[in-house]
Amino acid sequence: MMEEIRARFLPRFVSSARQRLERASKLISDGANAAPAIATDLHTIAGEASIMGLHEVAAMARETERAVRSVGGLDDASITAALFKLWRRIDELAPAARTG
Amino acid sequence: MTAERRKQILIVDDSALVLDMMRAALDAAGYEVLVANNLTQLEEHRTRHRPDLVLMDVQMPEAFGDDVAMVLRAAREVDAPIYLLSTLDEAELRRRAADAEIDGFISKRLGADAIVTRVRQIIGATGETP
Repeated sequence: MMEEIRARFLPRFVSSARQRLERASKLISDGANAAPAIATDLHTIAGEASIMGLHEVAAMARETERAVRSVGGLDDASITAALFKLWRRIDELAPAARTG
Repeated sequence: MTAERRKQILIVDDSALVLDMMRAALDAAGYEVLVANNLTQLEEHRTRHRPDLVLMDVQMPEAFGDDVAMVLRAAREVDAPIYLLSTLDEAELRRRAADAEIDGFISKRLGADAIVTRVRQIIGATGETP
């Protein structure tokens, strides 16, 4: 069933996760104090990835969420790097999402 | 001949994608799935149906799921087992479920197939007792 779930829902996951990460990127570049909102989005990405068995993506999202919550500010370069690393990993899923 | 009532599972989660994935997985396993994207929908389902199991996300915009579950259980508004369904780590889920005095937790980290297996262990398949 997992394979069917992944094939059916991967395009939505990729699209939704990209939107969440784009929003996070914009909030950071605007200098907004948006750590809680970004952490919530990362938590959602982790949950969705877990259910479809994308364990590596889920672990990356959880780790980045933990960093965002613990640092308390978004000016830490390591958080920006972690967000973009996660973004790249999700982008790598896009071809699979297109072919189903 | 009467059709057998499918066991009902109510899932509460603010992610529409999580709700759709779990509905697909549990429906394929023979369950009837009710979904609530917010507390208003939860209340509508709770008053109209008698689910056999409630799966509750923890981190939601309106409230923590364990707080909601604690209120439902304390007020005896839900007879069915209530389990947290979250990607939080197991130690935290265990503590939250115990503090809320509900039945337990299922980790989203298991993935859809193992979550369905866990549900079957808790309430049995449609047409059987667990």
